[in-house]
Amino acid sequence: MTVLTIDHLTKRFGDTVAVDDLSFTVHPGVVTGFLGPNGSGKSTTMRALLGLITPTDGTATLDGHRFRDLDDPALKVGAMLEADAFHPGRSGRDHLRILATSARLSRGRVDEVLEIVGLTDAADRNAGGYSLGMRQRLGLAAALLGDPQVLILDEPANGLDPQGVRWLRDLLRFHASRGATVLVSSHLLAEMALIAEDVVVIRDGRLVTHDRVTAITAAANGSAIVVRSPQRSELATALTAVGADLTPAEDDQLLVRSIDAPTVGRVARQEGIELHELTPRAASLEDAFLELTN
Amino acid sequence: MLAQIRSELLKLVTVRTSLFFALAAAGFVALVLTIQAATAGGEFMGPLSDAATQRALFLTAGAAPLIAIVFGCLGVTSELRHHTIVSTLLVDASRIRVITAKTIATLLAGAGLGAIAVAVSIVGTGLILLVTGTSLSVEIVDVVAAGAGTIGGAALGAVFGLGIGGVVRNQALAVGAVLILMLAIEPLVTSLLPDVGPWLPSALVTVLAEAQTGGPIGLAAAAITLAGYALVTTVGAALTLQHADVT
Ligand SMILES: Nc1ncnc2c1ncn2[C@@H]1O[C@H](COP(=O)(O)OP(=O)(O)OP(=O)(O)O)[C@@H](O)[C@H]1O
Ligand SMILES: [Mg+2]
Repeated sequence: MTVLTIDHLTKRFGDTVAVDDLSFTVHPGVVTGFLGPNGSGKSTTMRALLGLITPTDGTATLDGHRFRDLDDPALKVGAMLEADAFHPGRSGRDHLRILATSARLSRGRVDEVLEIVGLTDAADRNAGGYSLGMRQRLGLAAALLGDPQVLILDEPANGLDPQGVRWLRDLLRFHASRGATVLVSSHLLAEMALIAEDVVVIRDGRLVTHDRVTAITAAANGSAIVVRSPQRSELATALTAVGADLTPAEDDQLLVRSIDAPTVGRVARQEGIELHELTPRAASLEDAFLELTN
Repeated sequence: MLAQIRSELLKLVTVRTSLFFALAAAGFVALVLTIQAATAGGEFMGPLSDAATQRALFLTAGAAPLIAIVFGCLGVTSELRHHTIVSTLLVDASRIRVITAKTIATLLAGAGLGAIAVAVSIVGTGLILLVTGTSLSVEIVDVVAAGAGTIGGAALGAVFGLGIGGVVRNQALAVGAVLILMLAIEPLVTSLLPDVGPWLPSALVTVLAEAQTGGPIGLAAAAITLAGYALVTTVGAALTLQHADVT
C-alpha cells in the first residue's frame, strides 16, 4: 500500500513554470484520475514522481521515498510516459527482454505481459512498424512487467480501440481493488468518469481541485434537478421560499439547484402541486472539467 | 550490476546497428587486405615474402578502434534519441549504475569489434600466404602484440566514443564531433604542435594497434593515456546524465 505525495512541487524549465507549488496525495485502493488542459503540467508532475526530472522546489515521493532511492523500482512502480519510447529497429519482445533482464525478471514474465496486453502475435516485429495502439500496449506491457503495486500512466488510453479501452478500464480497476495505487492522466473524460473514483484537476501547474468524481460533478453548474409541472409558477414560488435556485427551461420545465430532489417532492405535495417529472441530473465530468479549467 | 550489464549487451545485440558495424569492420579489413595483397611486390610495397609486408597485412585490423569510437558514440546517443533511456531509468533508478553498466558493455562490445577485425586480418593474411605459397616471415610475437593492441584500442575507443556521446547527447552532433575531431582537429593540431600530436586519441590508438615500439610514446603510456581519455569523457557523461532532466 503506497501513498504518492506531491508536496509543494515546483518545476521551471527556463522561464516556463511547468508546475507551480503543487500539492496533493494519491491513495491506494482507488484509481485517481489526473486531469488538466494541455501544458498544465501533468506529465511534468509524473516525471518528477518517477525521478526523471529534478524539481526546482518541493518533493514528489512514494511512501516518503524518492523514486531514485528505490532499489528495485520495476517491482514497485510501473509507469508509462510516452508511446514512442522505443528503438524502431528493435522488436517489442526484445524491448521487454532488455527491461526484464535489468530487473532480473524471467523471460516467461515477458511472454506473460505480452499475452496480457494482446501483443503476442506482433511481439517479434520491429516496434517501428507498430500502430499507435500497439505502441501504447507495448508501453503498458513494460509498466506491468514487475507486477508493481503502483501504476503511473500518462494518457494510457490514447490510441486504444474500444476493446482496448474497456480492457484497460478493467485492468486499472482490478489493480486498484487489489490495493494498488493508480494515477492516470487522460483527456478522455467520459472514460475517466467510468474508471476513476478520485480526480485531481490542475491548471497552469496549480491545483484546481482534488475530490471524488461524484462530488465534482455534483458541484458543477450543469448539475440540477429537472422538474416538470403544469403549475410551474406556483411551484417556483414555493421552491424559492425554501431556498432553491431556479432556472426556467423549455415547456413547463424548471431546473432546480441548491436543494435536493426529496425536498422538491415534499414541497410539491405540501402545496398540492402536480408533478410530471422529477429527475436529478448530474453534470458530466466533461462539463465539470470545462467549468473548472476555464 | 551483472543484470544491468547483460541488459546493456542485449540492447546492443538486438539492433541492426551492431551487425552493421561488425560487418563494416570485417569488410573494411578484407578490402584493404585484398588491395595490399594485389599491390605487393609493386612500386609501393615490398614482396609478400618480406616480414614488413606481412606485418602490414596483419595491421589492416588497425582501423577497428576508429570504427569503435563511432560505434560507442552511436550506442549511447541512440538511447537518448529514441527516449529508451526513460524505460531504462524506470527499471534502474541509479543513473551511476546505468552509465557504469553501459561503459562495461561498450568496453566488451568494442573489444568484440576489434577481435572481429583482428580475426579477419589473421585469417585473410593466412589465406593470402597459403594461396601464394609464401612462407611466414613475420615474428608471431609482433602479430600477437598488434592484435592485442587493436582489441584493447577498440575497447577503449568505444568507451571514449560513449563518453563523447553522453556529453554531447544529440546523436548527429556527437557523431559529427567525433569525426571532426579525428579527421580535422587531430591532423591540424599535429601539424601545428608536433609535440602534442602523438598524444591525441587516434595517434595513441595507432601506437597500440601497430604495437609501435621505439616511437616517442611507449605502448604502456599510450594505453594509459587512451584509458585516461576514455575515463574523463565517461565521467563527463555520467555527470551529465546524473543531473539531466530526462524527458
Ligand atoms: N523538457 C521541457 N523543456 C521545456 N519546457 C517543458 C519541458 N517539458 C515540459 N515543458 C513545459 O512545461 C509545461 C507543462 O508541460 P506538461 O508536458 O507537463 O503538460 P501536460 O499537462 O502533460 O500537457 P498535455 O496534456 O499536452 O500532455 C508546458 O508549458 C511545456 O511546454
Ligand atoms: Mg502530457
